[in-house]
Amino acid sequence: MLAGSRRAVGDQMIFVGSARHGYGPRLLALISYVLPAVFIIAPLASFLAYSFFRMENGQIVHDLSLGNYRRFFADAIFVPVLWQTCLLCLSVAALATLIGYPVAFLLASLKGRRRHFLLLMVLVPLLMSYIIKIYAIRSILGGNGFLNRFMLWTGVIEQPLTVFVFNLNAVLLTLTVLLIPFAILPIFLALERIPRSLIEASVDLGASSLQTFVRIILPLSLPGVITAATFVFVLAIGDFLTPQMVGGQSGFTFGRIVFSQFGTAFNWPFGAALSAILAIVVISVIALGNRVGQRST
Amino acid sequence: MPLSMNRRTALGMALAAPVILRSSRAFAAKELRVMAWQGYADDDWVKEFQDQTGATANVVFIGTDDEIWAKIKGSEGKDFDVFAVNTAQLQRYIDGGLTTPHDLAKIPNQKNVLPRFQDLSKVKGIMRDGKAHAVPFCFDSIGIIYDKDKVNPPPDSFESFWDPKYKGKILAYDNGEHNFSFTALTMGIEDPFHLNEEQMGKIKEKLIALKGNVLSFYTTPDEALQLYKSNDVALIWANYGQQQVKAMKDAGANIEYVNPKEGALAWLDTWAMTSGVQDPDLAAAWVNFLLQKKIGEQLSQRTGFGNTVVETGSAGANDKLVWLDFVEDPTKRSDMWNEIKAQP
Amino acid sequence: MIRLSGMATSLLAAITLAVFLLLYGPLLIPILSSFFTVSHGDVLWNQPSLSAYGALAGNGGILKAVGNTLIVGFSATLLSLAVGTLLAIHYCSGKSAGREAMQFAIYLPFLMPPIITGLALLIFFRETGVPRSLITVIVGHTVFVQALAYRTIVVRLQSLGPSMIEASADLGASAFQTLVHIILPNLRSTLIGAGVLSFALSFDETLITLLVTGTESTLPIRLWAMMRLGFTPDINALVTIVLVLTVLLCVFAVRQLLPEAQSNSE
Repeated sequence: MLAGSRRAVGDQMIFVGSARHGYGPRLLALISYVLPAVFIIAPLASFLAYSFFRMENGQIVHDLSLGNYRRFFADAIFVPVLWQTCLLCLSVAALATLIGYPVAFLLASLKGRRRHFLLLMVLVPLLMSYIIKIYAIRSILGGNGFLNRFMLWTGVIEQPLTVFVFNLNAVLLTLTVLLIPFAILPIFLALERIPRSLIEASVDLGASSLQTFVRIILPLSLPGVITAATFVFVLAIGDFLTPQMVGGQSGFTFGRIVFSQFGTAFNWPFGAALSAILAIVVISVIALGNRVGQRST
Repeated sequence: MPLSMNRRTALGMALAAPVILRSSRAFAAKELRVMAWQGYADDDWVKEFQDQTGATANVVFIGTDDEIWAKIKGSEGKDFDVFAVNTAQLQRYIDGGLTTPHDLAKIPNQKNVLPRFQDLSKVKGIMRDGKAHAVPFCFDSIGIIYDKDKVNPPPDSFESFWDPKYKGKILAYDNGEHNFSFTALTMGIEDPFHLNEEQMGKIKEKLIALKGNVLSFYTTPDEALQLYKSNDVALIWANYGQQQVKAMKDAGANIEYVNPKEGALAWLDTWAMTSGVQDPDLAAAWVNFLLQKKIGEQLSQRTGFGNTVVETGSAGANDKLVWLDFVEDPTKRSDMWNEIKAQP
Repeated sequence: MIRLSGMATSLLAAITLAVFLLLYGPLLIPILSSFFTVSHGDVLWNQPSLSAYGALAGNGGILKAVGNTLIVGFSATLLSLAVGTLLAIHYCSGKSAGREAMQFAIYLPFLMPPIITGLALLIFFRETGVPRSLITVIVGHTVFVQALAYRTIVVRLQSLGPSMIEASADLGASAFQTLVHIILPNLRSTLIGAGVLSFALSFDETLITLLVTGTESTLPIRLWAMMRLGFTPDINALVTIVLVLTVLLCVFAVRQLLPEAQSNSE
């Protein structure tokens, strides 16, 4: 889960010095365990316990069993849909990170107010309700949407394009547009911390700009890149509205299966099991990403 | 309480307002917690209700049936006093003990509703063990909207949705229960709400075929309208009936609406009290307030839904309506619908 | 600080411009529409009008929802920054299985589908007898956005390295002094960034909010419910006002909080 943990191993007991003074650290430790235990572990654990129950005649039966988990693997639809959803969200994460990196890089190279103002401008669209944005994007992408009408008008195309009309491309594009700001910020924060002395040393030693970038800047910004990809991936996989609204009949993702268990299907036990599985998959994907990130540093 | 107002009582109220208001503010300082669909609790109605009763009505609007269920079930009925729910969904709330039956004596306006809603025991899904668990509020049929320029002659059957002529020009609705039901009607099955294994298998095949013919499955009327405007759409399975027709015609679409010969599914939204209702009398006053002629007219005029008090164009006398019912196994339909959608 | 050659700068600037187009392009539609008459969902481009703004001023329900959204957003953001900083310091102050477990717990609500987090909290509040209100919404949002704030802070803390803090301790500074004088100043831009992201997430949260709220509505809940009948024109006006105010706030923040001389010193 943690990108920089290898570095942390070397720096064990960062605050050991201050631990000699007063009750601060002990209080800190108390807060750090009590808050998550009460507000996160207690509610979530008791809810995920539902995943071992089952439904009978519209009522939840409190018998412990692994039936819900077995069903996930036995039924033909769940694994493929989860796989496709993961692929989709990984693509979104990759795309958002790839597009976000140059922007973060430019921001980090700017000076003073301009840098922070531009950074804030990247984040401002996040405050425009995403439902409104999805509606707007949809009216741009549709078969008679603004994009097609504009391109027909300019004569770039003769027939309306259908590549972005209610398919997975549209989902990919929309999610990326919605989530790019979440990618730019962590990368920017990582780039901003790279000491100038390191870069200057590299240049002094005769390294080219490209070499400096590949050997110094890129590896040092990698924790930020991983964080960015993680944010985007998780937010994309939790979003069940966008795929439905711009994906047409192919906009069916795992998030929607999970959601349907809690509504009309009323199968909370199965929904809880699916969520647990989703969480495990997401955590594994992120852990894998961290592993890769750490190996290359 | 001056609940059914005609012009004279309104005038009288205005003149004697200070006196009447004081005497009618039976619920001063009380709070009514309402969960409603957009359009069921407009600001001006809420304000008038508050002025009349002295109570505060706090309304939370919801977006899907799924959320109402999650919220009411999750809080075991404690978070709201009165909520809007359709008759098909209502059954699971009654099963789960999440409703409190209405005392119809406290809802006198129910006596003045349209004939077909007067005797609640004849409205499917309302009564359980001789008690009325909900009061009908508005309804609509689920027919076919067709573009007059693109579909000629007008369709009269759901079969048109499978017509290869309209491939990629059809909007259907994203709901497993409804889709199984209407496909069952199309295939001539008598009771579309209680299907056996074999019937479901056949319907699943037919729905997979439908999916190939469809541009998109929508969930809200506005979404369908936006889809219609930015794409080449000929036929729409109109889950929201007249409301959609009104919105589309207002937007200048050259469309018409037809209830198919197989019979159109029809939904009926009601007001139910939760098991956690704090003041049943206040909740009843709310329902009674909304069953006024004036409110019914405004509701239909603003949203396009049919109301239960004043006649509207939602269904003609000869149209065959099949009221939605709780289906044999909603979980199974939902699962099968997921399987259909997951088909490549 | 990174220095770039002229050509590289132009290339990056071009990409950035394109990204800004992607980000702001979709917003143009509601913004432009807000200045024209909208009749039944169709914008009449030949009839400029400010009626959408008038309608918004008269729409008490929406304005109250916006107010609630802001209250929840600011509270949840401040809470998650404060708690996130404490938890991050604790995590970075040693290595133990307990710390890993704590970190895992913090991430969990963010990784779960929102309906799970929402239902789990609703049932938890119900069982413990906590009445649903804006307070429970704030708790719900904090639980949800905490992961993001925490993660951003931890990454920065780890890049800080121990030397500065050890030096401070060696000089006899207490833990509190170290926090205020050493750690927080170094976290400034991180806290601002994490704060903005947390606020943005909270500002748009729908499902958890709906499940843990009492009778208070927030803007996303209203918009979500409006999807059934379509958005009214005053929503376009609202989007425009929010955008203008946010941009002005950014300009103000950059001018006031970041004096030209100081802004490179972080």
